[in-house]
Amino acid sequence: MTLRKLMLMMMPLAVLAAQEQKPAEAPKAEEAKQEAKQEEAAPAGEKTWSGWVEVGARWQSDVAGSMDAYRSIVNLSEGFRLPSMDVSYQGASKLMKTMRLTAGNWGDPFNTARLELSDEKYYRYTTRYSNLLYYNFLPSFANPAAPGGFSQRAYDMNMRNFDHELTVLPNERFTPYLRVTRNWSDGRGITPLVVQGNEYALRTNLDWYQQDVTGGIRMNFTRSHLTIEHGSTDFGDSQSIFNTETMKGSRGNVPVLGQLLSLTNGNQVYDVDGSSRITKVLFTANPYDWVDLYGQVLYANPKTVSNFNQTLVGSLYSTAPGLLFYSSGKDTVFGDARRPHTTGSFGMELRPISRLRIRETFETDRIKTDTTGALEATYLKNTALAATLKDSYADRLETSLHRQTVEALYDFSRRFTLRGGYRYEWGDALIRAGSLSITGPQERLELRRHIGLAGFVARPWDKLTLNGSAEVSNGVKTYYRTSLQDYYRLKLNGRYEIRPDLLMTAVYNRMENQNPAAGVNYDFKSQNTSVGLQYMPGGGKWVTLIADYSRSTIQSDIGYLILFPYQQAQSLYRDIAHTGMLLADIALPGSGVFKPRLTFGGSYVTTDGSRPSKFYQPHGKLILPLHKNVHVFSEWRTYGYNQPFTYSYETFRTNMVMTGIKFVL
Amino acid sequence: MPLTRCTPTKCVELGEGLREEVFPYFAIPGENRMIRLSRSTAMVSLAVFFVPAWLSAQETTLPKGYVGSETCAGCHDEVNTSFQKNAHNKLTTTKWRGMQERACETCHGPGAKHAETNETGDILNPAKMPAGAVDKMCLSCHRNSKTQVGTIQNGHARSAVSCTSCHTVHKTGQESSDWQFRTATGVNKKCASCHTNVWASFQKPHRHKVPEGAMTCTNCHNPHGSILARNIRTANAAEPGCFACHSDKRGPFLFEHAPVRTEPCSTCHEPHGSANPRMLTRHEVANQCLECHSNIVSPTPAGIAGGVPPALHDMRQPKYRNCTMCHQKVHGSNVHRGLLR
Repeated sequence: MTLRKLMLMMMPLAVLAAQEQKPAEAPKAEEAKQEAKQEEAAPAGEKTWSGWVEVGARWQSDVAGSMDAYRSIVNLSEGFRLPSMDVSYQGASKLMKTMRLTAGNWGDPFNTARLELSDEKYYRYTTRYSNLLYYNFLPSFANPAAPGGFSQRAYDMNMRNFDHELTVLPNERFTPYLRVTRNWSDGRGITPLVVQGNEYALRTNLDWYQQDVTGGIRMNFTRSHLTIEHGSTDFGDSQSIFNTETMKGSRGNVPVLGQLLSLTNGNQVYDVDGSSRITKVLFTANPYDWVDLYGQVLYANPKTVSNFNQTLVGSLYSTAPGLLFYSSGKDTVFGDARRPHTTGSFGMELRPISRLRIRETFETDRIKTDTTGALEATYLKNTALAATLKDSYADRLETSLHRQTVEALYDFSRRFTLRGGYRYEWGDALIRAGSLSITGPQERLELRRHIGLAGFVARPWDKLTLNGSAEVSNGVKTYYRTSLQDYYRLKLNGRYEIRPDLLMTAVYNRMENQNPAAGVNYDFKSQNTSVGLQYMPGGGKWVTLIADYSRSTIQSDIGYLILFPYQQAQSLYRDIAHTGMLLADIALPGSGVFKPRLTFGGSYVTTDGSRPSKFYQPHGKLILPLHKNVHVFSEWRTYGYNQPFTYSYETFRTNMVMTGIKFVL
Repeated sequence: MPLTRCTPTKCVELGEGLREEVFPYFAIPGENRMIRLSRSTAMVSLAVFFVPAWLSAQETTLPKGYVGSETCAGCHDEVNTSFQKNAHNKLTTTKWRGMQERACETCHGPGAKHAETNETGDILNPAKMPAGAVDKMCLSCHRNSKTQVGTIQNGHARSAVSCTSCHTVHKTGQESSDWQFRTATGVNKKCASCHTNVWASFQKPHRHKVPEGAMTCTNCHNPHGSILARNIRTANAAEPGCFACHSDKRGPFLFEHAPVRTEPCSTCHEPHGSANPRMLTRHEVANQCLECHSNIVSPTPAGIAGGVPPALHDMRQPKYRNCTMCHQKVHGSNVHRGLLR
């Protein structure tokens, strides 16, 4: 019977597909007529190619202060650059009707490109590329008092994304598409190899990739839509750490039980292969004018197989029984992990009367991870076998989360809408959370949360819009000490058009979360206030001024047990950030084509609290049009960063100037 | 092998040659048999789908109250001219929407009265309509598309931010939102015009490269709605969109860090901008980890994680305040249960 129903469902699709082919001839005449009409409407002398290309060169002052902090935050350098380009084509080529190529920041550590080709009668092709260099080496984490005193994990990575999507447009209703996405990273770094009693900063090679190939079809009907997508993911991760010379590690010349430790040869190789099937089914429908239906089912089953090999040679220490000191050790770990993940949602909006909308959604998310692994370790004292260790693992993590929301929105007038609703969240999880050790028993957790929802949209008059929303929750059961328990969330937005050329915006967000249980005493507060002003007299022809100020605070208090000395304490965390932004764009006196513009502004961030810091980045840009197709520009930027009381050695400051030409097509 | 014909009650083996029969037998993909639909069921199904299509095909005259786009162009010539290059102009050629001759009135409603009186109150003006009404109008065509599946879970929809708050309808070429939203600057500028507090976060030193134009807000968020909170996009079907780029954190791992699976990434990370170099929600990693790993076995009601592993270290020593120096695989490890390597 199920199969029969499936066939019955498929039949209309076949009928519609057939129906679509029939009138294919008829609209051609209409389309030709329409094209002729469009050609008439197009302004005379319209350009086939349009856009611009900017090229330039950057000069930089010396980086004053910490080069590592500079590279971790800004990382811009000198030389020729292609700051931006945006070139488009609109015409009647056989291969395409439109083309658009945009690119930005070529030559800099983060560059992007996007190409779009289309002929709206046949196809649409989009490809995107981004390349980000990510550098991070800030030893401040380890020790504020002794910069560089401890080895620190550092990365110098190259992260790239390449997406292709081809959509075929045989007709309006059936749209097959194919997408290929590749994301890959490689680079080098420093990783502390931690062995008992000592740690060694070793070189790291990192290399991973993920490739998705998905295909699907979108079926658009007058009152419904269905998308079915299926594909696969391949994943590979290869990491290795190694040393090239004998190292004493962080202990230096401090012996352990009278013996100096060292690492002559350390080698870790870590390989992971993964794959997944991906399935998506999305649908929307409005069978009647008063009801909309939405649904989606997403499924993936990622699996990984991992191999780990570690070889250590030197003077090494271990508390393992009968070992104490050893000269070489070899660890091999094999792992296999699977995690089917299913997510689904179903929602509907009912409009029983024109002013009332009732929305109901149900969401479910289920994850189940099953893993198995085996460890084999061999330790040698000189060449004699000292100890062997074999272990096997089998673990499971399960989690499910469900949400049901009912919400009603009522338009009291065209100027005032009120909404209110209720959301119930529930779920359970099975995790390993041993009370005193990481190998403790598994615990079954539960989640129960009741949430009240409210909000309003008011437009007392055309120039003022106020928007507010609130969430209040009573968490009966939550998973963790810091999870949302008894909380409220408040958001207020305002937008006031003081004059046609003067706009003011304001945002206020506040959230409080408390878990008063004994031993937890969690009290979290965050608040954000933001005010913005935009002044554009005459549509910004002569002057544009945009200014924003934001203040955000975080306060987090929670119970903590200090082990040395043994005493219960309340951890207090405070962070207050002030951010100011300004952007001014001014037309300078000029005539004809020569109408120079000056843009300047920047931002300033200062944070107080547990780790005070300041970061500022002012800039200015002058554009001089020499010809309608050639503009010269010059840009100045400054970056400055310092943390006055804690990690003052991370301070840096630099100036840079870029000059170039903008060719306008 | 002989084919099998199935009726609702039984299957009968048949000889070869039945492949030529098309109706009312349907081949079952992957199986060497065919299924038969009852003739009456098939005819009713056909009728249900053919009759409305046939009726719409017969519709050649304008319905009552409509005047057609040519009448609109009589007064609004400038809008009409620019509309010829607008993406919505396809309504004039798309037969199955049934609005070929009255594209303007698709959004502005029947214009006969307005054409008579020239009164602005006699025609729909989306700029002055409640957001819900605007959305209903836009979604009457756009609802049935892939990006709109999460619409009613969307914060924009709840806060009555209408489609036209972001999308232009009449503008064409480089002035249109369609054009501008294909560049990082265009997208980010639009989002920042309301989310000023988020844009302020992006001015912090450690951030995703959004202000630099290397990323857009829509790389991570679907402004039309998503199954995940805060309109976060999904990647690899059901995973949070963060894993689209940070695929090495996705797993599954032999030893999972449970909160990575049960809680969103934003529990520990502030993706918009942070004073912490790893974009954590706390300035230092120790503050982040120790709020959960507090050495206290919570006096738990049943069902709450009471046994979060403790941090059995002397936190007076600075080296222990950098948890991830040793617990390197904090997102999950394939080697060590303590996430050490």
